[in-house]
Amino acid sequence: MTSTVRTDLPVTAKRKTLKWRERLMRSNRLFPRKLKLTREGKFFVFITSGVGFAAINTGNNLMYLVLGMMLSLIIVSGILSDLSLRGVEVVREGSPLFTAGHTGVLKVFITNHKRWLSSFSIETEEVLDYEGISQVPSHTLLIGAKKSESAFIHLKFPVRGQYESSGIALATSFPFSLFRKSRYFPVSELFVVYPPIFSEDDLKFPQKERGLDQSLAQIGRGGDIYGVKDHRPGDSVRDIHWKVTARRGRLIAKEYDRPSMRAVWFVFPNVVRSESEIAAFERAVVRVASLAVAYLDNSYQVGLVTYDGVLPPDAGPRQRSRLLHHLACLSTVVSEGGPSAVAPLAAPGNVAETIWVTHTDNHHLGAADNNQTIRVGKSGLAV
Amino acid sequence: MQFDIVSKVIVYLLVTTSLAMIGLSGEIPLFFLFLVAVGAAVSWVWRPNPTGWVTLVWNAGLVLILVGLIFQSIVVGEWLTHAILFAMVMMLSKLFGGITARDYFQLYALTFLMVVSSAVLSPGIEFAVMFLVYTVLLTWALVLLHLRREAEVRAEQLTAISSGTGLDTTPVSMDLWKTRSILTPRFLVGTSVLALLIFASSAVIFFIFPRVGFGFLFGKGREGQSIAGFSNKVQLGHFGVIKNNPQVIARVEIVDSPDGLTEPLRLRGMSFDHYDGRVWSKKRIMGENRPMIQGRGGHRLTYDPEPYPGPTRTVVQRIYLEPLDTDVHAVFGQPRIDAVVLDQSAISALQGKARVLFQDTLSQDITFRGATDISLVYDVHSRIIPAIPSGIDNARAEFPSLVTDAYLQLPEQLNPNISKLATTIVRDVGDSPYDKAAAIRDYLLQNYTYSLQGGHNLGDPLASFLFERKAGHCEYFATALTILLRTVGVPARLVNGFFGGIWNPFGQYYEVRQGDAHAWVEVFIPGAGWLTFEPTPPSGALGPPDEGALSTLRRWLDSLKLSWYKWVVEYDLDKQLGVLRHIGQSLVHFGRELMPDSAGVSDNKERRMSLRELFSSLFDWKNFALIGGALVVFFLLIGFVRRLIAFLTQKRRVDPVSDDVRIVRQWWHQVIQLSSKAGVPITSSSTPEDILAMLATADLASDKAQKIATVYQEVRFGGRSLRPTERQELPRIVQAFKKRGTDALRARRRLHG
Repeated sequence: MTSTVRTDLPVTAKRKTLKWRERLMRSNRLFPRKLKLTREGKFFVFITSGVGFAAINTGNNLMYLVLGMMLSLIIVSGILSDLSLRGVEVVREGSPLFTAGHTGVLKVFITNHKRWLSSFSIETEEVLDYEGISQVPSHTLLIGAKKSESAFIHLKFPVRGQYESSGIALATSFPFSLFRKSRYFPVSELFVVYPPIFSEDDLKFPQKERGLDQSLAQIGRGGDIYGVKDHRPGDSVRDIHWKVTARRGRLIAKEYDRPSMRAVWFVFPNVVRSESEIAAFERAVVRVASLAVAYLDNSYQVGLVTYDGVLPPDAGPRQRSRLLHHLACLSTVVSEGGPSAVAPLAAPGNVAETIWVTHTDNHHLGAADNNQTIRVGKSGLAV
Repeated sequence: MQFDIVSKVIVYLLVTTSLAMIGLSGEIPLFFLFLVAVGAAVSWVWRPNPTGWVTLVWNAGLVLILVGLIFQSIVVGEWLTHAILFAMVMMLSKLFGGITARDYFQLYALTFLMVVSSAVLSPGIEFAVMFLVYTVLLTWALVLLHLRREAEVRAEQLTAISSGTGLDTTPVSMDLWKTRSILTPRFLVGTSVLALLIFASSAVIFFIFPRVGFGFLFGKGREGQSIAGFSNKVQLGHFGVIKNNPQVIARVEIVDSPDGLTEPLRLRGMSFDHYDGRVWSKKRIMGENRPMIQGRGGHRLTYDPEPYPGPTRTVVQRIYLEPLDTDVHAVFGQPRIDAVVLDQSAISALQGKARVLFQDTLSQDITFRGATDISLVYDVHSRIIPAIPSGIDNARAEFPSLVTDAYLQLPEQLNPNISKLATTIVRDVGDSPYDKAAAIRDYLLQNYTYSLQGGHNLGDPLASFLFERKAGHCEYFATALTILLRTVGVPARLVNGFFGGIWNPFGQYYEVRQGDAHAWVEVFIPGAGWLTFEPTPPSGALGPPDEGALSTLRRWLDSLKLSWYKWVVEYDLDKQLGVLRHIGQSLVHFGRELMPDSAGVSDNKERRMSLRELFSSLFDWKNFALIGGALVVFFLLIGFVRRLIAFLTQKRRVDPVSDDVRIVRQWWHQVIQLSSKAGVPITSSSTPEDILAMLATADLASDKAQKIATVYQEVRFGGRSLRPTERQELPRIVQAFKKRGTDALRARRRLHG
């Protein structure tokens, strides 16, 4: 059987194709400030045009006065919104991590560098040109002169992957909500969106019957004393080894022995026959992530093998992050022959347990006979 | 709550202002206005629960009202008035209804509709005052609406994004709550200054916006309250009522002489040729419609000057005429009019008909065609006679037949004693018509007194005046002189118009009041034409006096009114070009003053003087006083609104923080501070028990901390008061806890090197 391996499919949601007008409007050189009419603003401009027409037609000077007021409101609105956005700097805080389908929060730090003037009603949002992303911009009511405020952008990504933000947009509709003026800062940022994690019960965790849900030795406490170390701020006072402390004349803390741990390999061939399988594939990714996290939570050392690489087994929260990051960035290889047409995957080394996860019916993946295979159905559950 | 109350107050003030503006127009029945005002007041305290049937009945009622008003508009007309009525009903509906940002915006739109209608219907200076108030309120209202909208949009977005995820949406309600922090007096003052800037900017735009009318629709001009006082017929005995009326019916500027005239102002209106014993009227009209010629300064109509042997002087008067409730629209002006000039706005106001003026060549009366109940501005050029030339009394009594045919008419039932009296008076005077007229005038002035009292025999009022009461007002004197002259064969006619007026020093113009309405006589003198004779004693010829501080204030207000009409209501392209020209010239002049003059105006002192003059001309103290006064009123208004808000929020604002709570908070705060120093991670959700537990892990827990926590919780959340012993003990305990904690931290730092 011949097989063709195509280029990897994008792992994130589909990127929006920007129209030429949107691309042009994003140019800071041509348009340092962007202006958009709100619903009220459209109505207001319409009424202003009407009053202007009536004033010119009738020559009624009081109409001209009313027209003057309306035009003044527009002008003042423009000036104030511009002043609000001027001299304002925004910085993202922390490394943003999100889970697909869940609302996450991105903290930003907004500074008003103006000497005298405050900034009002500042909204901050990420410029993400992808489909299906929900976003609630942060809203800061008042930033005093020479002051800073922190704010939160709420983001919800549809699927796992890496999303590149092309920048941050600051916007305000102060003072009358007639226009929304914005500034665009081209500071790109990569957001890694982890696959969602489901609980063991939701997944009908297959190892339950095999005693995997029994608690194993806890890490870091309850074992033998492994050694001592200098006591640092934040260490519990209960861990102070008073005898050694008295002997050495400084605070010394106890270190405990790490209990022995079992290891498990997840083998996940990230290959699909066609793009129509991608939905099932994504469900399998969720499955792998949830299972891996469940094993980690049960004090297993978990390793992962995919066509993108091998993640050696380890335990703890850092391994959890490494695993989820690997799965978040996992590419999708398209092969017309399916997983069997590409080079077989195998868990390296001599390990006790290997779990194969696939989204297809084809079980012939080169797996060892004594290992279990989990196929993921439409519901995302094991079948 | 404060945000909601401030919003509510502003909205109701906005509604009240717009209702007042529309009420001032006088187009809306007072009863209806009253009903709406009562409805608005009720909506302040009561809003129906918008259940299904209430909404249904409410909407059905609105539809019924709309249909009724449309039907009435079709039958009666007056679409604008009915549209305003419906807008008022809608306004009430909104006041009783929703409270979302959208509802508020719709409410503002309705108030704005009222303001626009008011601009059409009520062009008085009251509009200016109310418009200023409205601008300030609208600015506040729009800023508050912005805050409300932001909170609502954010709430919607957060609800949408967090649906099904269990995300806490508490921050949504907090957003609106946080607005408390910016709704401060400083914020109100800031937005008020913003409102003033908007108003000032409106004025600038108003003055510079090009006045180029396409005129798809005809302008209706300025309408106002019609004023009685000048009539196209004169009935003896009906004058006293208006004589004391101080209502201004016209304002007159003397164009070439800003300081006014040396002689009293006399505005001639109409003359009368026929007297039936009680009523003067106009029977003979010999005139023609004469088209005005468009030229520089507007449409002009020039009349052939009447030949006069003596010296004359041309006086140009600019007349701002209020609407008059008369059948005929007379062109008022000093006697011997030789030109009338109307600008484009007057032509538009008269809907084009003023391009034709009607001149009665017999009486020299000039009248407009078109509506009479509108105000007008026009220039009149009059050739006045400064002094009666010598030799005019030698004129012979030879009159043109046209004149004698029209102006020697006498009533059929004329009392024979009147003829006898006239003959007696002129017995010793020669044949000169001038001498006869002067003799009869002097006789009347010497033997009769001015009185507004009635009581004349209305069957023959003239005889009653001449032989019984010997007192009367100007119409009696003028009638007497005219009839007495006619009985001795001198053509004469009664003329009515306005005489005197009050000089307004603030605006440098004459205020002509209803009480200045006057009647006098014109006598035909061969060789000189029609000359004015004043038979009424001076005390009666002039209108009622107008003196005192109140009158000064009234004059000042009237000058403001005229400025409003001149510079706002009647502002046109000519004035706009004039203003721009003036600014340009001032700038050029200013530049010249600043630049050293090579020709040799090197005297700095001289230059400083002229600069001072320039500045003083630019910044008149009156303007400063006006602006200062407006600012004072404005800030008083802000103070009032603030007090009002404070009053309204007083009862609802419950201050939960008693002194005891404040004290225990301070104590507990010191525990938290120490905990933070010790590295205890305290979050906003940490309870005192959590903090105590964490202090225990940091080896800082003690009985003292426990005691402080217990008292803090009992007073803060349990609502009990601090005991006197606690007041004395707790500070010591807090200090001891702090000291122990600080010592422990220091020791730990030392141990860690």
